[in-house]
Amino acid sequence: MTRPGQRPRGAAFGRGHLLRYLNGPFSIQLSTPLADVARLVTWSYGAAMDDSSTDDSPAHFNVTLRHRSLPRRLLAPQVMFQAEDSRPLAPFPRDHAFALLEWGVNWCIATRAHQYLMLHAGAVERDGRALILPAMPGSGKSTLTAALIARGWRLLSDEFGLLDHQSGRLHPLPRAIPLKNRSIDVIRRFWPDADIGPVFTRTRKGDVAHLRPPAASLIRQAEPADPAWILFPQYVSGSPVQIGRQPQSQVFTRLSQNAFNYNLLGAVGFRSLSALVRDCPCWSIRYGDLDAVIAAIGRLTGTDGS
Amino acid sequence: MSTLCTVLGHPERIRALSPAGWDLLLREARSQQLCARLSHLLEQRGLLPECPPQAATELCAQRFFAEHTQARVRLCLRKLRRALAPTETPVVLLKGAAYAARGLAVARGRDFADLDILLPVDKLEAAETRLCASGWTARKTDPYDQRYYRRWMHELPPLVHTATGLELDVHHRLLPRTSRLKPPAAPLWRESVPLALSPYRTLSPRHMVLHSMAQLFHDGEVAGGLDNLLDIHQLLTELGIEEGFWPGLLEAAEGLHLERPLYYGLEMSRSLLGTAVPSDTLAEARRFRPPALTGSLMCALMRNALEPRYPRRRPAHVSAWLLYLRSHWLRMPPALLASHLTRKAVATLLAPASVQDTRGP
Amino acid sequence: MHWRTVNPESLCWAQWDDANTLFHGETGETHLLGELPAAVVQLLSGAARSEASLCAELAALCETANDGPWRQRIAALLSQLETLELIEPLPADTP
Repeated sequence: MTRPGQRPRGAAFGRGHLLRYLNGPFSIQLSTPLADVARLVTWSYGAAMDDSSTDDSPAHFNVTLRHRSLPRRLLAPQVMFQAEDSRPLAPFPRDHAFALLEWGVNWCIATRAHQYLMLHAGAVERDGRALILPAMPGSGKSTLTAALIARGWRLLSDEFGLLDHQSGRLHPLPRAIPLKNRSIDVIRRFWPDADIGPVFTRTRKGDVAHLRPPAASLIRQAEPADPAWILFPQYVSGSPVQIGRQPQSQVFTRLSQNAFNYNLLGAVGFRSLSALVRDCPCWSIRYGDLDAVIAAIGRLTGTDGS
Repeated sequence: MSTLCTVLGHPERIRALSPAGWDLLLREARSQQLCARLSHLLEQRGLLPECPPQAATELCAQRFFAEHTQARVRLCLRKLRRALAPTETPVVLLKGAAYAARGLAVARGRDFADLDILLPVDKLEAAETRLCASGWTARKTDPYDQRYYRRWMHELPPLVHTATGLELDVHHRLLPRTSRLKPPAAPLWRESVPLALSPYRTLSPRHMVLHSMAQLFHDGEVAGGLDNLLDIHQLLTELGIEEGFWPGLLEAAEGLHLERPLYYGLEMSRSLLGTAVPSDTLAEARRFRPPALTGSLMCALMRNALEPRYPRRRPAHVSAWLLYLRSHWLRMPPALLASHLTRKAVATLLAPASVQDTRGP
Repeated sequence: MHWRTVNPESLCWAQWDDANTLFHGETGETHLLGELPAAVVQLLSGAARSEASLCAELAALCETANDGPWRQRIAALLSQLETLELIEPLPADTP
């Protein structure tokens, strides 16, 4: 379990760093010579480092992040992600090492955690109930998720909605939220106290900076929530808030294609998804202004105190 | 001796594992892609409750791959049946599809990449015509590759069906034509066994085992991996209890000129996985041992069988699925079909990925 | 021609306001079915039926005439469902 202020469990050895930390239900053991990566991991997940010095249970994911090769190190340095004997991702420029690590962990989760139906979605929680925001083009999902947690919702996830087959509950996976380009400034203005990490420029997606997961979300990352609402957000600049109820068969169809592993899970995935669609009313919501959409969400979900 | 080999051969030894031992077991199982099969072996012996919960969850989560593949194989076999019905071609299922159709223990948790079938050589051309007319296309589109297949392998090039994406390998001989070992096809057909409520057949039990052994070891090299060895171990364990199996196995090996693979298959399975082989069978099989084989050479060969191949050939759908995964992050998600679909009376929710590409990401 | 559903024990249904989703364990596929095709699959899960009696039964259910256009529509639907491996014709020698 996690305790804030606890000294992170990691060790510097030789010229390398060995860290063990939690991302939601997954324990990660990271070995890397890159000091800046170790610092960013500690900054991001320090409140969730394993505190037991006697914890020698196997980590879920054993990953390394290291330089690609000596000659490359001089010309255009690159870093390589490895998970046990797999190298699933192309190398990244050295400056973007932390982003590569996060992608790599995503890959580990998506290829192994089939005890969950994995939605490609953000999720936030209030009063034990979860709001699910499926990722769609133009949704502004990450920006909206960041704005919601600025206004008091607990961060469950930005990337993966982990729906447990047996309990039907959503398991938290609070991670650093990558904000891109304009939304970095948008969130800075919307949430002046937001803890945003360094800006990585000239990535494939432009400028990327990570929003630190709030300590509360990490402390409570073993606490699942009951799915209650599904919202397909669509950001359109200047648009007033427009809400439409979604027919269940369409919701099922969209989510079956949105989920990473729906097809793989067969009958189990079908039953999990059916229960989710049955239990959660679903809307699409078009918006142009964060304050307006958050107020609308509060009214829709009955969490605005009214 | 690896932890994984020990546990595969003697599942109850998980009781003696420390946390470090469990870590090693899981890493090896992941590396060899044997998690799902291990989970079934443990479950069969009632040992799952004795595993650390995290380990049990991890191992069982991999079962979905096998179940998914087996469902797609059933789909593919239905389409195949319809395609080939007019030709009245007998079809023998091989390897994974056969194990699953027979409900053998070896099929539990077993994922595989391709659907392998055996046809009589004189039916090959007609079959190909029917298959191509029914939605199968040759996977290797390079004309040189196609000629290579036809001339040297004397097989059809691998075919893929647009609906299932599964690769279909149509054989008329057990081993590639270029192999030094040349098992005749006639005994295979003579002994083949029909499946109930199905037009398909499988090899006889002893031929099934010999085929698996021939995959592991032929042309002087270890060609298979630990998963192949586990196939042999599980097949021998389940089929070996039949009356007359072991003498029949020796006899069949001679009939198919597969004496050498038999020797290696029995010796490796016995020493690495503890397969219970009758001592007189072993003694008989030793006659087929190559004279130049030394103890240390044998050890080296066995180590080869244990090493995970890198890069490993993944089952095609895993590669396809990984491709789909990356597309989520690197490109726009697939276009929404919702409104379009509800206007149609009937639709199938297809996986968006193209499954033609079996290269890893 | 007699028809039946393929391995009906492997079907999982979810009924929504305007359509049904159906998982077919035999093939691992998920289908989205309107009311009429869903009714066909459900009827043929119970007992095999001839095409003629199926047309009649469905016409009664839908309160419509069992005429030429109706039978053509059902025939087309059956062909589509067969392509999806949800239903199959019975072998000629089935008693």
